[in-house]
Amino acid sequence: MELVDYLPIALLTLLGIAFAGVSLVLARVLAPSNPTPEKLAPYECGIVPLQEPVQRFPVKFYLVAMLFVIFDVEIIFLFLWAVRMDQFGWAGIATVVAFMLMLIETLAYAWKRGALDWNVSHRTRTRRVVAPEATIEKAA
Amino acid sequence: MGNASYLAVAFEGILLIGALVVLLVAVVAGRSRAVWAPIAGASFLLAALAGVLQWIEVENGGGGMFFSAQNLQVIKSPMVVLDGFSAMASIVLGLVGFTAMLGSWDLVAKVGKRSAEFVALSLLAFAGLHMMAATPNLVVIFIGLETASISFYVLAGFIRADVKSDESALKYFLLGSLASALFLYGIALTFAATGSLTIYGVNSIRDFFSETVVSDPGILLVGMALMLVGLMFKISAAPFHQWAPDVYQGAPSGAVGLMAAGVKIAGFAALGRIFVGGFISQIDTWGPIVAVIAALSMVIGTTMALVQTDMKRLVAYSGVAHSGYLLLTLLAGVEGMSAMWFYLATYPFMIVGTFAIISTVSGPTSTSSPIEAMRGLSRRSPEMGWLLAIFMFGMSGMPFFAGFVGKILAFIAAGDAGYIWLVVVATLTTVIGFAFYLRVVATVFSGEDDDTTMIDPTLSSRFAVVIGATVTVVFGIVPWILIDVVRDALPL
Amino acid sequence: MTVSLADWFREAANWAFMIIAIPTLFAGWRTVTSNNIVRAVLYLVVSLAGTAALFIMLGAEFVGWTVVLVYIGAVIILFLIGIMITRAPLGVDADLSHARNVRTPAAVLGVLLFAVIGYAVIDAFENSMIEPFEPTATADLANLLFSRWVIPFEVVSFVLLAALIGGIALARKDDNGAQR
Repeated sequence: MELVDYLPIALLTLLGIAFAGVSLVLARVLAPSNPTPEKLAPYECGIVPLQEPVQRFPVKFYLVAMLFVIFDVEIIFLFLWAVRMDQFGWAGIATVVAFMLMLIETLAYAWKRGALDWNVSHRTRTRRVVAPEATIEKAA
Repeated sequence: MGNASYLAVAFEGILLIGALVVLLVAVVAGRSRAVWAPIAGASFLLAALAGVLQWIEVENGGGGMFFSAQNLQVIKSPMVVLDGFSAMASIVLGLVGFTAMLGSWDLVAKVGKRSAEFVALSLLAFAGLHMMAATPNLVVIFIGLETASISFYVLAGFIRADVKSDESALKYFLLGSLASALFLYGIALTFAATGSLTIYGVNSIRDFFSETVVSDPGILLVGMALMLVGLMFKISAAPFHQWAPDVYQGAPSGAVGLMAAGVKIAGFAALGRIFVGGFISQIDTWGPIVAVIAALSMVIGTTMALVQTDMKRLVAYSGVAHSGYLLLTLLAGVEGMSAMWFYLATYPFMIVGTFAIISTVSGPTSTSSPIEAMRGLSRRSPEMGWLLAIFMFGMSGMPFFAGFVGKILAFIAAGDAGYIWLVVVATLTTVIGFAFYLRVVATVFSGEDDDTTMIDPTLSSRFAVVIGATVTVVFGIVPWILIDVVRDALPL
Repeated sequence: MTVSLADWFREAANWAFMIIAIPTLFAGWRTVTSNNIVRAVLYLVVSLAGTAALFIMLGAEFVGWTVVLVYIGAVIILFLIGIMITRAPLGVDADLSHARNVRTPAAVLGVLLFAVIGYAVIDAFENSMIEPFEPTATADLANLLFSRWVIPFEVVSFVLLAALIGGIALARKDDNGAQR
């Protein structure tokens, strides 16, 4: 791809930035601004939030994100193979399979060990300890 | 591939297969640790055996460069090199890994379901460490370094419930990543200066220096300096040592021996490969810098060790001083490599043994281990007490222990290279160093009689400690056996 | 050969470079100075996008798009999720700024490192012009990766494997249900 071919991309980028910028400025200029404390409060289905949520997101999200990054990097390498797949032939396939097998085996290990289970409670024998705050919140 | 030699990559191959089999067995056979233990041990021993075979092959003239591209002469861009240097690294890393794994087994027994991950990471880490010694390609050295580093970051934080362990892992990760980044930048600038990423072969860094007169070395200097800093960090040489005491202390006791010993061996192997193998013609440029770092390491390591009250911090600072002594061998260029390998073949065993004892006394998951905990150890567990004394004598450089011979060889190497002032500093710090090593020994052999909580070491840690002590004593009394061998452990 | 300032401004590529480089630099600056951690991450996106654009300008298309895919697409997501799962305050956090006695040496060190590397690079290449070049085709990279660099390619899987096992070891639930 020649550098000139990036011109549409650059134009599109500029267009996107311009659209966002113009929208923001227009909104600021045209929209009436009359904030009250009630309007600024976070909307929670009409119920007034009393405190910050006790727990943020579960760690499981992070594990999934981490797996995503690792396989994303793998994809980058596979992409290089894909552009010349026909030329590399079986030797290329063997190389790539060797590359992938290790990660796939580890993924199988993680899967088997329950690292990917979203709801772990039915697998573990010990009961989950519920934080006292959470109980209170539920009761309230 | 005509230019392939599977023997040259046997070490990495065996450990990788070992790691994969451990995970596979963990999936298929469930949580029984009894199955993984032989696999992990056998992988390390087989890898060491492969090292012996590599050694024999090299002695018979079968060494050389391997694994270039298909349809490409191997000399164009070799990726693996088989020489005395890499074969020695295989043997040492395999045996140290085996011993360290034995020493870590108490910890493995404690981490429950995750023990398979611990074992697999250790195996992978050692594969990465050997890569740093066995490749002429700077990029592969970096990949090996990253493999080992990532594994060790995780091992340092393996006990998640302990905040100290988390802190240790995070500190190690942040500073280690910075060091890796600097090393990578150094590679890039070296490439910019020499136009080559490989140490041997056609169009290599060596060729560049033999063909070109470097008149304006600015960018090359920065490249070398950054690579030096990156590796100095990994071997915890002063002033890049600040992480070591904190990480050693915060990491679970059972894992530190594995990390500390492995990184020392591979860090110096990589330094030897890059700076003695590749930049030997520039020794007048990097020699003085290394000399200053060595002096700083010896002085700072020794003086800081004097005031430590924690066993793990003490060993960490003593490790800083030992990095200094080891750096002396680099200054002698190729002649110093045999001295370096003698040191690397004995000192890591002392680290591993010491940490096996610490892990036995303070518990494998402990994050601190005050020297006071060692009080009366000679009575509470006579064998551990005596063997700890042996390790302390060995590290201090007492005659008739391997540490003495290693230090003498290093001093001779530095003396031959003309760094007499450095030898004086090294001798002084060695003498001062006796103080803190002997303090530990005194603590071990003192204490009231009423403290009779017996310590019953597990079989695995007994084995680890005995192997370490055997190495320390045998090569202290009859060092020429090893000296004769390491004489051939030279880079290509 | 020296390049005068006027010549420099006559070159369209230099204008394109400035248009990309200045926002990149600004975003990088805001990344480290912002008191709001989410904003810092979003500035990092801008900074990384600028870097990717510079790579593309240098003819390293594949590297540029890798930055977009891996860094902007994955690593930033990891950052944001990392912020979400911890109790880091989402608003302005005064603790994010270190005390002056920590900041100043760090800044000095950074500037020093930049100065040394910058000086070395300028010293080595001075005003030598880069000959007109074709962008590196991804197919050429593929040929290289699967011939000369095939061993490093396989070895990279070691790193990924270590990262994968390490990630599982650190982030997975324990037997006893304790959560990090």
